Parts: sequence; structure tokens; C-alpha cells
Amino acid sequence: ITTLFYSFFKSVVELKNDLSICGTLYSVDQYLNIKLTNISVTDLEKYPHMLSVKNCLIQGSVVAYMQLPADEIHKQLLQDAARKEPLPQKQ
Amino acid sequence: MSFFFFKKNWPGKTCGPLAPEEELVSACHLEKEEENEGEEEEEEEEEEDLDPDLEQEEEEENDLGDPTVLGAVHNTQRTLLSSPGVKAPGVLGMSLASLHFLWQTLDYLSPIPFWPTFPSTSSPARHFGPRLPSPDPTLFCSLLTSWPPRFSHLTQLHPQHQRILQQQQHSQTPSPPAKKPWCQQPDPYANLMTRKEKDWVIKVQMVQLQSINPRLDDYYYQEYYQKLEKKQVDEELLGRRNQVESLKLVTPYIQKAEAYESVVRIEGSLGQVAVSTCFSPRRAIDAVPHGTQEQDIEAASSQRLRVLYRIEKMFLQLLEIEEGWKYRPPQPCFSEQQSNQVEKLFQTLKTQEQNNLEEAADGFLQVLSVRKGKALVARLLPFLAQDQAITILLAITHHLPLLVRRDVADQALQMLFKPLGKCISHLTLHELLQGLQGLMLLPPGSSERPVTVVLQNQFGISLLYALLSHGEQLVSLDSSLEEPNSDHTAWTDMVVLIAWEIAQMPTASLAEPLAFPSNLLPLFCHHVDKQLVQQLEARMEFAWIY
Repeated sequence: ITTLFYSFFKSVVELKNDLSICGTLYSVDQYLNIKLTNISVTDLEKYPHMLSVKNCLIQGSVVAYMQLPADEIHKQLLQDAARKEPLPQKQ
Repeated sequence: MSFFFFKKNWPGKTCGPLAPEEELVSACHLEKEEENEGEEEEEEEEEEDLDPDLEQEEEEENDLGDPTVLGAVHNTQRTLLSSPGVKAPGVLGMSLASLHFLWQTLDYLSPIPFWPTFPSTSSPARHFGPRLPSPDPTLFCSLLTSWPPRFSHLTQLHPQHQRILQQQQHSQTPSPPAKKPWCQQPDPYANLMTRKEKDWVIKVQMVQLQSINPRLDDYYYQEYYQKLEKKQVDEELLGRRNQVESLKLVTPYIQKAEAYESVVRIEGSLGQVAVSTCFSPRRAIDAVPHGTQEQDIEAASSQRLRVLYRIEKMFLQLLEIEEGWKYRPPQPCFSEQQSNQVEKLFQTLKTQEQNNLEEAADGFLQVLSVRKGKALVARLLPFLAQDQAITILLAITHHLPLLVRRDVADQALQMLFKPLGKCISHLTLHELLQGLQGLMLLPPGSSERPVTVVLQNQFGISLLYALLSHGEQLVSLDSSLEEPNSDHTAWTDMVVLIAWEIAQMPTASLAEPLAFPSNLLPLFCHHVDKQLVQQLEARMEFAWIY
């Protein structure tokens, strides 16, 4: 199977209502709305209404956490990048 | 066979009656529909949701004006479509969409002269807004016509993306695939947007990618792929023949929209004068805090928060130093400014402003008790001058039991081992003894030496072994003097004591060191009797070769 994605960001998104969704990161926008494909509900299947859902768009404001795959991420670099955020009014 | 010739031959086979200038558009849609089998997403919607970084990766092709190349692009697309087993619809649909978007972008940015064969399709819609600079014709002319095209420095395909496209090209069969795009069902979404509108949307998205300083704006991506490329280069050097040439990833420099002052402060006015432009129609409230927040932090009662805040401030300084070091002019030593920065950071770390020496040490230890603080010190050590580094090393050695106890949860002291190991080799015997003596003193009211705690911790025992090994090196180099030196006797006593302590420990409690220096056992043999050596050997568990 050939694909153009160089990597699949399989991540788990935990929402503020305690629903955890595992899926492949498809896209993100400026509001941090997240589109996931090929999702499955992790932890409990006590959310059966999600059984048939394959792809979803999650509004950014309901996301509590997002777990990213550790080997795709360079943690130290990410921390540095967060520190380097241009500070307001300091340009 | 290029796609465009194809189209010209079957104008009647497009779905529904179409004006000639719409041919391209509808064909686009047809192709799109085919790619997105099973996906009902509209093209526009999909484009909007593309991650800006992804856009950077795949959509910055401004330079493939050559129709042969474009044809090749399209053939690639069709190959991808017909490849067996390519059924990851979500991913593939998206990727093909971006390829398609890419094709459209090419279309959108190619200059008129490159379309001489299709006078009917060169419509005024191809012109776009005055904002975008006209592509440099010389840039186009210099392109190779073979695939993969040598993208100019303006192109931004991610190296692995590029590689996969190449592979696709190489593996494709010369005969066209069996699928016949014009036999598709009529596209219900065709012609919802004109070319001009599509161009406009694309242009708006491209505005996001403008960046004068991609190193800052997109720090993580740039650095991460630099590391990736470096790793690939190393792999190639090792002989693993990757046919990949990793392309240099550069964000395109497009003339940025003029910066405007969105918040205008007039002297003497109350608040701000709202300046609205098409970029920010209403920016009434300045939600960004001005000035520093030091006062608030000072008021915070939590000690830990204060320490963390201090660490973060120091981290910003450290990042500046590291950045300066990475992009220094080709002299291997520090510039004066850099030395000043290092010095300043070191002083901050040592909390020199505290008058009380104990408080100063305390501040430093607090920093070291936090995982972030350990990371900070570990990264700072290579930049420090020798005496500064030794100060830190001795302070750590002196307070080792305390640090070890505080590190039980994190187990993060290990990251300090390598940088400390480097500065151990600069210690003099006297300094070494000073450092170690603290560990051997019996604290009042206790029969246990601090060194026992150290021996049970991996970092502690590794550091101790490294120090002993260095001491042994120093002494053996020095032994040519042959005179009884107070330091030498102190050293001998120290070694004996440590050996005894190690022998006393039950084997199970001894931590496994990160590195075991080879001259350690000979050291013990020198100073200690046979029986004790045997006990040590049993505990240290290494291969003893007579």
C-alpha cells in the first residue's frame, strides 16, 4: 500500500466530557479544531453512539488533552519551540 | 501522453454542455471526484482544513510551468489512482486532494507564455491579484523537464513525500491506466465556483504561509526536519544507499503584506483608537498583556512556582545562547556577547544576588530538584567555562545525598551524567578530595555515612566511580614524585573508606552504574587487602581477568 503521508499521527484526543477518541490526525486549523480519521473510542465502549463513526471533526474548545505518539515527536525540540513562541509586543 | 492533449481530443465527452473555457475546470472536478471515491467532501472545504504546515509541505509549487512536467504530474496522479490496494480512502483522498491542489496551484501560478497550445483556455481568470509578484520567467526556463523536476528553492515538498512521488513515477507503467475519467457520473458539484473564485481562495490560504522568519515562526518543523535530513545524510554516509536527495526545506519568501499598526495609541487619549482593516475588521480590545508580570508572580505564595518561573526565565537565556552558538560565524570560540550571556546565566543559576551563602546554595539546589532544572543545567554545562563548570560539579557532589533523595520520583539525574563526566577530567586532586570528603563525614547523630545513600542510586554511584577513576588517573600520573603528600594520604584513606562502604552494602542494594571505569578495580587492589577486594569484586560484578 503506497501512501503519501510520511507518517500517521495516531493520537488520542481526550475531550472535556471524558470521551477519549483514538484516530489518525487528518488536519488541524487555527482554532485547533481537529479532524480525525479512522477513529475508535478508546477506554470504554460506553459511548456506543460512536460505533459507526469513522471520521470526525472535533471542535477545538472541547479538547482537554491530546496524546501524541512519542516516537514521532522530538520532545525536547517541542518544548524549546513552545518557549520560543514570539512574545507579544516583542517584535 | 499529457493530460491536456487528452482533453482537447474529447471536448464532447465532458459531462453536460460546457463552455470551452470551463473545460479545464470541469475536468478538474471530474478528476477530483474520481480521486475522492467515497468521500463527499467538497474541494473547497477540504482545502480550508488543510493544516498550514501540510500546505507548506505540499503546495508551494510555483515553478512547474513546463507543460511536459505538468503532464507528468498528472500521469503520476493517475498512477496513484490505479495502484492496486490503494484503499486508505481517508488519507489517500486527502493526499490526492493536496496533490490536486498542488496541480491547481501550478495551474494558478504558471505564467501565460507557458500555455501557447491552448489559446481557448488561457482565460483572464488566470490573472490573480496585484499582491502576488509575477513569477520570474527565468526561474521557469531553468527547470529541467524530466521528473522529478528540480524544484527551486521556493518549493517545499517534504523529502519523504518527494521520494514517494519519485517512486511512483519510476514504477508506473508506460501504458495509460484503464480507468476512463470521462465516463464518470455527472459531477453534482461541478462549477460551483469559477476559476477566479478558486484562485482567490487559494491566494487567501497562501497568505498564511508567508513568513519572513520561518526559523522562528515554524521553529519545530524546521528544526525537526533538519535533524531528519541530517540523519538521512548520516545513513547515506554509512553506506546505506538511499537514492533520496533530501530537498532543502525552505518556506517561500513572498513579499509580506504591509504591516499595519492595528492598535493606535494617541498620546493623551483614553484607551485605543480602533483601526480596522480588511485583516482585522474589529480589534477593539487589546487582549494581549503589556509589560511584565513580575509583580503577580512575586505575590504567588508557592515556592515551587517561583522556582519554576526562575527556571523558565533561565531557559529563555539558554535558548538564546544555543541559538547563537548554532549560527555563529565560523570561529570556534565564543564571541564576547555570548560569553556575557553565559556568565549572566551562570550568575542567575548560582543565585549570586543572595547575600546569604546558604540561601544561594539552596536556590541552586531547588533548581536541581526539579526535572526541568536538571535539563537546564545539563544543557548549560557544555557552554560554561572550566572553573564555572567545576563549581557546579563540586556543588552537586557535595549535596549528592540530598539531590539523590529528591530525585527518587523523577529519576532524572541521569541526564547530568554525561556533561558532568566531561568536566570531571578537569578536576585537580585537591578539588576532588574536597568534593568527596563531604560524603564521607559522619553526620552527627547518625552512624551512616552520606555515601551509602549515594551508592544506592544509579547516578550517585556512577558519579562516584567516575570521580574515583579520575582520582586514580591523577595519582598514578603524579606518583613519579614519590614524596608522601598530604593529599595522597588523604586519597588513600578515602579510597579505603569507600571500598569498605561498598563491601558493607548488600549486593542487592548497590545500584548499577551507568559506566564502569576500567581502572577502578586496580585502584582498589592497590590500597586494599585481598579479602576486601574479593568482596568488592563480588559486589561490583564484572569480569575479572587475571
